[in-house]
Amino acid sequence: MRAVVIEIHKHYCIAVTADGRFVKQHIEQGELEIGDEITIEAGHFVPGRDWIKTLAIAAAAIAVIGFGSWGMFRVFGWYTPQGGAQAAARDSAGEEMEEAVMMAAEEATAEEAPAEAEAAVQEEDLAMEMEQVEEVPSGPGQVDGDFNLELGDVGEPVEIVAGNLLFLYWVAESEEGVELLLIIEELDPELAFTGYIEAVVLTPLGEVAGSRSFDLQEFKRGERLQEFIPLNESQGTLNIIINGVFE
Amino acid sequence: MVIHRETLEERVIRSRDDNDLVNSLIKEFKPFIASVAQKRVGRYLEYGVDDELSVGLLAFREAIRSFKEGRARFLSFARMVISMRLIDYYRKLDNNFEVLGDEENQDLWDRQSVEVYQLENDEEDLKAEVIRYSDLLSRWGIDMVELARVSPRNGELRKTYQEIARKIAGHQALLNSFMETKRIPIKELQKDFPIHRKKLERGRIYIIAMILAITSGFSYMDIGRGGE
Repeated sequence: MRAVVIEIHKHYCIAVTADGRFVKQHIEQGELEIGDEITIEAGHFVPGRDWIKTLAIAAAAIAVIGFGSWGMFRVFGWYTPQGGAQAAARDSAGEEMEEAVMMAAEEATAEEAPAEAEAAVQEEDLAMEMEQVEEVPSGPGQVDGDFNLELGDVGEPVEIVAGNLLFLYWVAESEEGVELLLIIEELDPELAFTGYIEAVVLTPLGEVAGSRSFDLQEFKRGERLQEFIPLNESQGTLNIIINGVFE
Repeated sequence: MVIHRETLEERVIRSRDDNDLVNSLIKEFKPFIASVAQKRVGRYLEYGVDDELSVGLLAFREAIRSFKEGRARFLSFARMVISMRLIDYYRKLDNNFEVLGDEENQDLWDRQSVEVYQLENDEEDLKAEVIRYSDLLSRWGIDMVELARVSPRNGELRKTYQEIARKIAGHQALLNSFMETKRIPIKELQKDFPIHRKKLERGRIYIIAMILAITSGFSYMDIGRGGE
């Protein structure tokens, strides 16, 4: 993908592509001039720093939907055939209590509805605004692709969507050494992935620093893969290979 | 009605005798001057820290004063003057720097002149457009790093925002209102675009950047032509 440089910083530049995408791209010092045209590898980008906000929104959305569902279950639980039979067996004091609960539940539902709609919008935006890998299309069907991701700075998470899968990773340094934490999740609630994913970390010299492969059977939303990959150094490239089917 | 967009070369000639206009040009081209100097010295330079940038600013001023229309594109010429003044600067700093004789010095000028003058005109036009667009964004208070952060990665969302920008830029009343208030007319847009208000607000910076790209004639992006 071609892009033209519009601003230069010490370690990166801001460039814009012909289709109107502004990207932050790592550069070597003194390499470029404003207005120079550069090539940006798809899926190769300097990570953003808004991950805390993103994760907070995701957590809030899950919490609102979770509590909302729990509230709905509580309310409608009384009105299932089984709940109705139990209610009929109750005495009048029980009916009064049921009425009070119903009114409270209606109030609660009225308050929760906009919150749930808002959460749904946020969740939708969350998926739409993440970095997308163009080589791996979303939706159902066969996928067979590979792409490279730049390892971010130590402790700086990177999130990217490939097909229907979310990849979240960051480099962690501890007394034991340097490791890459890789988390993979399915995003589409209606699709499951069957196939294999291979994650290979390459050093700047192109040597394999570490790798993991996953054989997956109907990997669906709500499930999570989490792996630590030991590294020799904190710089390098993460190569992801995906082969399988979303159905 | 034929609208004439003033070329950079015309601006330079017009600015030459007006100090305010020269200063305004220099301010607008500061990022360009820095990038040329950085490329020349091979490292990142910072205004107020690195002397090379002061040299670059003076050289750019000199380029404005000495530019001759018709001989070259201004950016090529300015780039050459900045490069040469940096060479002079390093020569003064380092006594061991190889000093060229007048004849050799002239050769170097000529060689570089030929080299830079042969740059494609299109390339220079693009650079001038980028600088103008970048300056415009900056005058609207748009931070490029923030713009890259909020720039939609999803193609569909990006197209929707671009369509909104085209709608505003192509509608005189909406455009006037936008230019005056610097706000996106959300209510009016919602009549034509079934899009959540929050999503419109979230795309505000990007939509403004797109409107400015269209109105300033930033040709690198396909946005003004409907994205196709």
